[in-house]
Amino acid sequence: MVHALEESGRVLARNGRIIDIRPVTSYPPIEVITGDGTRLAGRADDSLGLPDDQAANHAVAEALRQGVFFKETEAQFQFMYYWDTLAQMQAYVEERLSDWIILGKTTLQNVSRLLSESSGQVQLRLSLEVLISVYRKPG
Amino acid sequence: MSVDVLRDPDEREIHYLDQMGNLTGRRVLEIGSGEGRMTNRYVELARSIVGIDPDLESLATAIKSQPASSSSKISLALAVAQALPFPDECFDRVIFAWSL
Repeated sequence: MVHALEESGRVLARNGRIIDIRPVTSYPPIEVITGDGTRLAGRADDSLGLPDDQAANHAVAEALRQGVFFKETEAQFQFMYYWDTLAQMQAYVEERLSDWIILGKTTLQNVSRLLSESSGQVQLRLSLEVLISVYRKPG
Repeated sequence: MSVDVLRDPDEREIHYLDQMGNLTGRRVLEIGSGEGRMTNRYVELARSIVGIDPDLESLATAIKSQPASSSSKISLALAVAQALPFPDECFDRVIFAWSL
């Protein structure tokens, strides 16, 4: 990762920016949204991603130490996924996110229960915390 | 397998990317561009975009998903971040898109 950042610094024009966008480990909430409101079913386990988080943070720290770039600003926001059914959510997580997100049995049972108690249109929502950091290459 | 999902319908990711990264008129390198999910959302802002990814299938999907009106601004390459096949100082922005 450090080498990737060094390479990025090489191809970047002076005063150019490196923008790092990635989710951070946060045990994201899974919610059931109905006409009556939003209810928390539980939290997904995204701790499988923690080693990658830490490795990326270490690589950035090393690149900063080497003076490849310096930090300009950062912010955090929620990146949300929505599904209409539990089956869709499970299929998507299994196909696309299973490297780092696990849907626990209790949470899935809570989702099923909340869905069975709901009428009308419902949606399921998973809210990831995403960090965006901007670094500037010296001029 | 096709799955139905809405990802970031409020477009917060692009909002923050544009506000903080100031992509307007810039030459952008996107590392880990994958299937073009993010690329296609900010292509109208950038002057040009080169997307790289080590996965050929993802790049093939990205080519198919490019908006026709913007496809001339986007170039895709099978490459890895540790050995970028580009000359020095040729981009204004480098985006690590969920890839660092």
